[in-house]
Amino acid sequence: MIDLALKNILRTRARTGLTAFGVLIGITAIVALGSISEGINVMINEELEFLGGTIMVTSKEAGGIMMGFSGSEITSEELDELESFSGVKEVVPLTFAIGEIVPMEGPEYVIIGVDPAQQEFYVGKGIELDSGRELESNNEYSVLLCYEYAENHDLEVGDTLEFEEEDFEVIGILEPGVADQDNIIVMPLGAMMDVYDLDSYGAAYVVPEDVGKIESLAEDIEDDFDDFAAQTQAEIAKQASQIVDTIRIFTLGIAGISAVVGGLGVMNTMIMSIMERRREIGIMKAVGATNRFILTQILTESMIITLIGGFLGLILGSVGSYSLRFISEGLATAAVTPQLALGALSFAMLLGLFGGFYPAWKAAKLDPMEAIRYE
Amino acid sequence: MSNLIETKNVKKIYNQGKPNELIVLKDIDLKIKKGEMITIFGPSGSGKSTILHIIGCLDRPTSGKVYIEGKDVSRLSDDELALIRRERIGFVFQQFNLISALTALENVELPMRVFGINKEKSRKKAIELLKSVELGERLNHFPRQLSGGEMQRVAIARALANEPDVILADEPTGNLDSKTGKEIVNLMIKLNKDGYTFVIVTHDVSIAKHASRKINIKDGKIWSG
Repeated sequence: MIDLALKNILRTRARTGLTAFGVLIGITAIVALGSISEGINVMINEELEFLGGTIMVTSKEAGGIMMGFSGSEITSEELDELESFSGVKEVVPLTFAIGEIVPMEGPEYVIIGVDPAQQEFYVGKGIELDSGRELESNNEYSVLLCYEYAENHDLEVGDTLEFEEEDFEVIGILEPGVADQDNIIVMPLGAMMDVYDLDSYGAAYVVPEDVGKIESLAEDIEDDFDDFAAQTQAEIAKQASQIVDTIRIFTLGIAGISAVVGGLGVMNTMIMSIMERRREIGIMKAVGATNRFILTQILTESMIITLIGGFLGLILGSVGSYSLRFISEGLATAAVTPQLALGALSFAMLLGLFGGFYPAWKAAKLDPMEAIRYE
Repeated sequence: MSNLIETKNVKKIYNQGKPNELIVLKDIDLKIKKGEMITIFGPSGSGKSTILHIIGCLDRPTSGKVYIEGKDVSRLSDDELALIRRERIGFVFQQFNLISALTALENVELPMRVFGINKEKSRKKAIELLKSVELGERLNHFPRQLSGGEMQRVAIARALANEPDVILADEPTGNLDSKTGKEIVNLMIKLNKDGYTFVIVTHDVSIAKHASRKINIKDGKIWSG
């Protein structure tokens, strides 16, 4: 049956090729766009792991995940209150400043102030350095530069850099390609507040005494401090997964539409094919082919076409997603997971099944006598 | 001897109840015995091809019964009829009706493949059959590379593939010149002597000469036979 199906679809190579190409475009879109949203998902998960079991407290008006850039911030009195709050083990205040603004691209980097004694809480597993050393003293005028900034400005450990007309010594360069470490400059909290003349904090991480009670602690903080938003990882994860879901629906929606168009192409081709082969189908029936035999035959043909398109689309989509990662130098992570690959191939097969069903059913129902007489 | 095929009061009406109603067959009673070679004569439009289609299980009568070896087949489903066709009936058409994308060999294999016989076995049988119709040298030729007579011999080999009880031929020499037509007639006579039952719709008197029985049909009725 498969050999006969292959023979049939190879009779009209150009048409088969074009139809498979239509499917290919759709499946390529699914694989490429799907892998991008998978990549974003992976990236966000990595980020969440970093944040660990802490509560992020921000001023409500500053709001949510985009922390600390608005006027309203956390004062040192509020920080003291947080520290003495029941169930709180430690509070890690952070300050933020926006670095040079590049026209059209936004801030080139973000300056973050963190107490050197607490810097491991900011980045969870500790700052990963490419060269140099970590921050040591809270009042030292020293900075850690993200790799890209150091590269772009030709800076090395030992060089000095000016912030608000004060010289800072570069003591370390951050490892590139690590989540949370790109596009930032880290300096000691004390030095930063001094130089930028700050008396409040952009955000604070609250480390609970018992990680298991992190949710209720976050609720208690929000209840007690009217103007604070306290978010745990779970909440951030929820927000993040909503974002990922939105991206996923959007990308798969676009990809799905193009795939469905490919499927319509399959239907079109198969209808044409059975019209041309009416007489042959009649002959097959005359020599004893059942309706089911004809149905299966035509479905096999359409599924071979869509599987060829699907398989090539999977390859092309993977190449596309890999080149995206390559071009963006690892910034955009795109992942072709086995589920995505399998999903794309199954979808191609379904297209063959649905695109082929109507023509196959029509062919199966042909009256053999009329079909044989058909010229 | 019991009848291989029997029809009782078979009527065929197209577009029944509509203004363009067409009565093609009226009360056809026909008995075909094993080993016969029957010719059906009649002007075009007389309904002779329709009889062939009905006894060949390609079509159902509007009313009346069709029995094949005593079994009523007149109300079977499409797929049940297909099973009877593949096991019991071989068709030969005026237009040869070979599948153009398949070689002579593959065309003869087709009914066996449809039957579910494996590739090896059906290939062996197809080669045998093509040799028996003197086309052993033409196995891998496509229909377009064959002459009319050769195509009709491939079609006859195909009709024999599943060892049918009866071969139904609709104007088998109608598209052939008289010399080639004669060869085909001789082939059918030989097969009939080998035991195959033939029902042949034809205008060709040379076939009728060899028939064991001649049926004349006019206006959907049997006039003699």
